Parts: sequence; C-alpha cells; structure tokens
Amino acid sequence: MSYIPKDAVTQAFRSNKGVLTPNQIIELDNENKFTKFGQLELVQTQTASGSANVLNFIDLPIDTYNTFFLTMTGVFYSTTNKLIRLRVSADNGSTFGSTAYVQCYKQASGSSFSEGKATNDSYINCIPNVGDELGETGHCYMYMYQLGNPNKYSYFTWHSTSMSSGGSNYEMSFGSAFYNVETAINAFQIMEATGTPNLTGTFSLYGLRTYS
Amino acid sequence: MASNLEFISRTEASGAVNVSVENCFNTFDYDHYVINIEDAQFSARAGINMRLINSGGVISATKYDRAQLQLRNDSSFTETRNSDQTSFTTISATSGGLDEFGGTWIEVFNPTIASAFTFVTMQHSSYYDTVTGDLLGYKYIGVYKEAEAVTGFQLIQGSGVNFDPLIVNVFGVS
Repeated sequence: MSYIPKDAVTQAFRSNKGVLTPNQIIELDNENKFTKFGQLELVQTQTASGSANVLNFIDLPIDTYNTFFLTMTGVFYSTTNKLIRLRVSADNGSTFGSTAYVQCYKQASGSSFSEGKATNDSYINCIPNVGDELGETGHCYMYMYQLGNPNKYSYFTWHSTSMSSGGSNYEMSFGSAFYNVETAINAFQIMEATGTPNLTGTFSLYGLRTYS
Repeated sequence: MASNLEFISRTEASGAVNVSVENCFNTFDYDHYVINIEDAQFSARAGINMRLINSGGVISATKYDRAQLQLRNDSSFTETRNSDQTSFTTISATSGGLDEFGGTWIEVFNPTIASAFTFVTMQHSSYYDTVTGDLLGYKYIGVYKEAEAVTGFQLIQGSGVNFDPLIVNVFGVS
C-alpha cells in the first residue's frame, strides 16, 4: 500500500506523488502518467542479412506515437550502386503505395552537388548509391510525422551518408518528402527499385512519446 | 542512466498568433534540447517564426542570425542568409490547409549557459500548394548572438492568423 493513495492526488508525468506499489506503477505507466525518462522509445530493430530484397516494418504503433525516428546502419545491396528507398502501406504491409511520393532532396556525390525533385515518385530516395560490401555502405536517420492520422498526409525528413561502389564516391543526402494520400500509414518497406538484389543492414524504429 | 530524450512539456494552443513556451529550458539541467512541432494549423499560407525568451520576456532584439535552405519539388532550392534579425525567421511554413503541416524538428544548444550564445538547427517538411501538390522542406541553422541564459521560446504565426491548433513538445537530451 502506498502511504498516499494513488488516486487521492493528481498523478501526472513529472508529478507523481506518494509511495507507489509495483502494480500502481504499472497502472500509471499504462495510463501514460508515470515519470520515467527515455521518451525516444525503441519500437523494433530488424536486421537484413542479405537474403531478401525488401524489409518490412508492419504493425506500427501509430495510436501511441505521432512522430517516429528511423535509423539505417551499414546498409548495402548484393549488386553495386543501388539506392536505398522507402515505401509506405495503409493495409499493414499487404500492399505498398507505388505512386504519390512527393520529395525534394540535396545530394552530394564526390565533388558534385545536385537537387533531386519529384512530384509523383514511386518511393522516397533515402540513401544514394551504395556498394555491395561492408566497406561501401549507407547510413541514414529519418523523422516520420503524422503517419497515424487518416486525415493528414505523412511527412518525412532525413539525412544520409554513404559510399558508392568501390569507394569511388563519398555521398550524402538530406531532404523532405510526403506521401500525397490522406490515409493512416501502419507499415513501411525498405526496398530497391529493380527488385532483384538482396538487402543487408540494421534498421531501428523509435517512437517519440509525449504526454498531455 | 542511458542517454535518451527526456520529456519536459507539451503545449497545445488555439486561437493565438503568438504562443510562448516558458521556463522549459531553465527548469531542468540540460545543455541540449529538442523542440518537436507536432502540428500547426492556420488558415493562411505563412511561415512560423521563433523568438527566445529570457528573464525579461520575449527577446525581439536584432541578434538572430540564420542560414536556411528551402527545398521545393517544383522549383530550384533557395538559400537564404540573414544577420541581425529580430527572430529566427521562417523555421517552418505551410500553405495553410488544415491537413498540410507535416512536422518540424528543432535542436537547441546551450540555452541555459549564461556565457554562451544559443544555437539551433532545424528541419521541416510540409505541403506547400494543394493545387499543384507541392512539397516544402527546410534545413536551417541559427544563432542568437547574446551570451545569456535563455529560459523558453515563442512561436509566431507569420501572417498574423491564429494557430488552430499548435502542438509543440519539448525534450531534454540526456
């Protein structure tokens, strides 16, 4: 028993009162009222081991988080100079949208800088060309906004750094994008346009927890 | 304790042009903060500006510098640089539709250190034009050039129209 009954005072994040039992802590935590730090919460880490062309994140906890943070580490394909791309799904991964991606990004490759723009693309270009081995990988972080709101578009911002095949070019990109369909997104896919080379890399998805 | 984000505050406001988030920096002991604008809706195309707050109130002195890259899918990208401004101008923007604000991620460095300037980086994504279906993105750096402790910030709807609503979260980086 707590010295001060849990319900006798207003409990809120950063304002818990009384001595709480383990069950009361669990109850408050489930109500999003228990003070514990680490609001960038790991949803899932997946590792692609070079045995498939795509990697799917499904069952996204869109009722819990409004903003997501995705990291991609050590990513490459089994064929040289392929781009790492992302598509979204409104039916939990049964199908992935193949049009309606609006994106713009700045890309550097070697000594050249370029602007990438598309109004109705088939995917979001997260990382420029990578090689086909561990020394020629891509890395990226991406913020995802409004995925779970059926009345809003889904938005993305990202930064990447990578090495093309044979180490010929060091590359980077940063950009913004949105999926031009007002629908709730509950899955996404890491993919490559030709659909043939296999993917290697580690992908971690985090949710940003907030409190009313 | 593992390094992570630590929730400080959530502000939900409607019916106001200027929304202040006060005492979010000075109450807790961080050197690095994250501001996440989760939603910002208003009925006119405009940018959102940001001013810092100190013990004397909202700071409108000409001590804000910025460099911004605007990314649009329908035109060339645009670099904008300004010194001695009265705010961090256009940290984000949208065409003004109810469903068209994406998200803005702002990182604030050293706001509570009285001997240091306050630096910011930002990135943003939103709809720009519902007719043409165009995208607007920003990458942004800025500095407030006064060595003093900053306690909070104010978001300002650039065309004088009320936010309806504005939702903004603040985190400390541990």
